[in-house]
Amino acid sequence: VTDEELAITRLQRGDVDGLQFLVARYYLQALRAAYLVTHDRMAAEDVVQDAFIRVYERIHQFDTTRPFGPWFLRSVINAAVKVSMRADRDLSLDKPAPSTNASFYETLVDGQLSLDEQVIQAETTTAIWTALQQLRPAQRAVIVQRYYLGLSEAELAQVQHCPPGTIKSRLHAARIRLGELLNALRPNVIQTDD
Amino acid sequence: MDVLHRRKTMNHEERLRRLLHTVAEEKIPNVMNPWPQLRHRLVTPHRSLRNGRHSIRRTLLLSGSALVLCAALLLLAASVSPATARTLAAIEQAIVGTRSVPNNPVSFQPAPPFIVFQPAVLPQGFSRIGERYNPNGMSDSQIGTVIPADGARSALVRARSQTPHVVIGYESTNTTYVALFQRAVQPQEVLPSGEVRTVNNQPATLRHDGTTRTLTWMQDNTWLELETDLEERELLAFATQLTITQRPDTTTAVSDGPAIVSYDLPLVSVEDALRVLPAQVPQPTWLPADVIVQGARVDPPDWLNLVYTRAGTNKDGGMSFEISRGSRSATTSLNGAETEVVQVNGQTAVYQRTVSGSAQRLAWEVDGYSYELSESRLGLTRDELLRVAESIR
Repeated sequence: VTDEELAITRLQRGDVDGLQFLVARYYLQALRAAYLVTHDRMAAEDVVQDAFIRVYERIHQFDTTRPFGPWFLRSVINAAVKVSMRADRDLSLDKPAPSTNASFYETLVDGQLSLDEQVIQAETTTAIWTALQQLRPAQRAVIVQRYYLGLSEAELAQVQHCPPGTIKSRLHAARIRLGELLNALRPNVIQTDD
Repeated sequence: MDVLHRRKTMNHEERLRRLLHTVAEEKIPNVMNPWPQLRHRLVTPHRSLRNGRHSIRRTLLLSGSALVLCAALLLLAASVSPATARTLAAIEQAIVGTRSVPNNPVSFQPAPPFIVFQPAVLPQGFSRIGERYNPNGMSDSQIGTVIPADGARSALVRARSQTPHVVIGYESTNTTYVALFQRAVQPQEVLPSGEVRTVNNQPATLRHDGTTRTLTWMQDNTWLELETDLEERELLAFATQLTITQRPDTTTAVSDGPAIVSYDLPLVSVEDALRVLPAQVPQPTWLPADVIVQGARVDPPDWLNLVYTRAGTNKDGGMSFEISRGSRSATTSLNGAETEVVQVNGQTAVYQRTVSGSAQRLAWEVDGYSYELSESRLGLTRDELLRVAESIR
């Protein structure tokens, strides 16, 4: 019996401390994934904490023959998408501007750095962050699940309850859009696979 | 060729994977152990309505006592010696965190479907700058009114809830602000994550975002959020002395839509606004067809907001030109908007437009002053907004 299975068994018996092991194992990864989707640290924390509370409340619904991680992270991503869609509908006049600043553009037009040098620069991560924010929440989620959480297309199809072909086309569309956004910010940082 | 294409794709995918991990690790390098806080949320019986009515009597007793004591202190202060007045002020400071002045609570009509709390007293220098009452819980973005976006003012216009709610804004003369958000507690609702605190014997959570602190708790089935840039001690003092000022009135019909009940910076004519400012203020000399000045809001000596609307329509849309001392352009933006760097009369400006195109904003700085031109649901093009900006003289 693994530590994870033991923790889940304790939870299923109503022992709240069974959750501690799962929090230690998954909290940071879930928080980062949620943050990549929501772009809002406080919202991401809420999403993850609420997800753990749901785990506690609904652990009896969990199929113990399956791994806990994907089940839990799927609920985190779904909740993060909902939060993002709600946020997208609302118009906030009070959030910090996306970090597209003059120095970024200076680097962009300068063009003296090699591609590899550019990639390791902080501006690159800023560009990824900015471009991600401009994707639709569902596209953001599929990118985060595939490339941050490392789910295969087959696993994605399983957690999304849709055919692998649908996942493939969603991923393709998301990558194309991400590539367009990145190319608009800085040519050649990352290209689409076309 | 196909092999090359696949390799290229794999390289891009691998790079994307590495970049995403780098971004995630940069944004959240590590976290403090969340378990104690999470466990506290799980084992504390503050969910839903379980903590409903048990504290009403205690709250009334405590808040009533505080009111009587504060009133007595204020009455005494008017007729005692300066030394005694200083002593009383010190006592008063111990109660509310700082010297304070009585607050004149606002009454919302129709009565909100939840108990409304307001401060019995305000820290000295603070005043209520306005309140927003959204009886039907529409997104505030649907209100469409262009209002300056700073401190408590921005909290008044920010979309915060899809349920009926009120937001009351207070600001001090040194621009410190407090925004008090309230709505009914929803079924099975839990507090957001954050540092655990207690307000009037109720569990609360405190969250930080830069210098902004947000304290959230539930009291008498009302969800309360205090957002402020006050220090924590002052914030908790502010929260503790909130008292019930209004209860739901089930006989009052709910109106058709959201409304700004009042706004303490009144809309005046541009001439009147300019008259109270110490210097000549630049303003647009060109406006798109049918766009007219609706009025101005002014907060002398260094803040002016000109409000424009489309002539002959009753639509919500509007345009706003705001000029203020200091750098503010980096602190406001349209959420989710695409950003572009443009030039306005030789100055670098940031242009943003929401994906839906319903709002756009242009911000730049000149000689230590921030300029912001924004438009919402007026149907202007990017070029028209830029032309308005370039006509500012």
